[in-house]
Amino acid sequence: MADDEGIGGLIGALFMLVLVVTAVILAVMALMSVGALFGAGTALRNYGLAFSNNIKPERATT
Amino acid sequence: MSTAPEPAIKSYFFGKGYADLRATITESWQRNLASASDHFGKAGRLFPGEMGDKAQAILYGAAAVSVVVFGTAFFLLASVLHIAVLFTFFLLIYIGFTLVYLTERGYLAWRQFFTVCPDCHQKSRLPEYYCRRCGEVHRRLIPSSYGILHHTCTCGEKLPATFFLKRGELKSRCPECQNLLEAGHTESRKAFVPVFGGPSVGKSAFLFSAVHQLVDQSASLGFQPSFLESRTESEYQRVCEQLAQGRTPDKTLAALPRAFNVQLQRSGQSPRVLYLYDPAGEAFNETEGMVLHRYQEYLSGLVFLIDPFTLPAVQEQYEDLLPGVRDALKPSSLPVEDALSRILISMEEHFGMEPTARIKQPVAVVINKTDAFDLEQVIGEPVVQARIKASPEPVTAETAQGQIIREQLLRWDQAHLVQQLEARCTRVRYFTCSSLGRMPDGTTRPFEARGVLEPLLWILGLADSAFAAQARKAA
Repeated sequence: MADDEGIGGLIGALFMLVLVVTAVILAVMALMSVGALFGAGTALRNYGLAFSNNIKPERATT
Repeated sequence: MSTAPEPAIKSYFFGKGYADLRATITESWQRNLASASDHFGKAGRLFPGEMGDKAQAILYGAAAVSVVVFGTAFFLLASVLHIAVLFTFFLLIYIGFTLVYLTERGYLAWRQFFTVCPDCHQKSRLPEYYCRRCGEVHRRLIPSSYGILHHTCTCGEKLPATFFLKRGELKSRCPECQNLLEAGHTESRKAFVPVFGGPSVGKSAFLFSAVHQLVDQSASLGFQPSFLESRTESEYQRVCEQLAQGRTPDKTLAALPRAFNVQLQRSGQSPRVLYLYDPAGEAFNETEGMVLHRYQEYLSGLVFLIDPFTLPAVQEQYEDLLPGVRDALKPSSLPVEDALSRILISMEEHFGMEPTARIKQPVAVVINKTDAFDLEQVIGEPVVQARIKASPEPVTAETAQGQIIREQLLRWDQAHLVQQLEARCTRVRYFTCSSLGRMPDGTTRPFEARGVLEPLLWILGLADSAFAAQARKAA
């Protein structure tokens, strides 16, 4: 009886561990995805700024 | 072809577009590196902290990597797109200006328009144009990378870059000597006729009298005459006044003088501009060389003026009368054969003409001073008319005149001259004229030239079909 209770507790603990590890991995993946999107946005903004700073038709001097 | 930069704004797609692309890539890459470095820095600082800080550190770390990865991908993609756009416009503009340029060149070649400076006599495809606002010189105002139809001067003024948009209305100058040119020096069909002969054969009087008759008879010839420049018109009026007052024109001093330009316009036709040259007889050797060297590409014909009183036979024939009028008659000091030899030698030296080759351009051999003594009765119009009447077969005035003058030259022991002329010139025609109409006698009676226009019209008629009818009419 006591053995059955020990196995059940172990399974429960393992389940909880898997759950926690999965949650951490998902959280890290979510953070990385958000980070990647943020980085991509930054890169896009950087190109846009560089484009607007440099693409200018030549003007007459007077 | 000059590659010196023009004082104009180059098409964006031919220069600045590529510099801008390079600057954009450089700046975006620098910004990406700065962003990545910033994110990595934040991640490094936050990671040792609490859970929340660690989460932020992961976010910044991912962002830093993403900036580098996506930044590279973006700039690669955007650059490809950017280059494609630049090249498309580059190609479109290149095709555009090439087509307009070739159309213009073709049209100008068909109309036989090119630029000849009346000062330095240099032929060029195009003069240099001044900006109408700032006066800056545009050396190649043609459809190019500076613009298909217009160039924008650095001052902002839009200048027409093609003949079709009235580029000729801009002030222009010779690319060689930088003297100012008129539109007619470029946008006209031209005829180039130098008047050769030794000193005192009457070249200046011949030239101005011929122009005077051309202007006088322009209505009947169907042309509207005008002068391209006010200084030419002033010179013409001054010499005409001198002739009207019984004074001979001033002696030409310049070895290679400025061309005397007359523009002739007929309705519905492109303008014709005559370039007439009256080089000083003294500088004969160098003059012929210079003139022929300069005009070798576009010479229309030569007027070879002969003073009959340089011929020993004529001097002998009138030896009793000559001493009394020597000052008035001013016989030329250069033997006729020498004058012709110098032209031929110059042609050989400067045209690369073989010693046995023939001059292709028409040569009008004109015996001047026929007003003296009874020369008119010997080789003038009355004899021509008599020959026509006496001839058993129909003969034209041109043929009769040629026969009479040729025969008379032979009688004057000029067989070698005639043989030289006929052997070395493809088209020779003999004329007589009196460029003053009478001998100078110190009175103010006007000089009235005879027979000066026909030689000119004959050459023009052969050089340009527009003058052919006029030449026949004059004949």
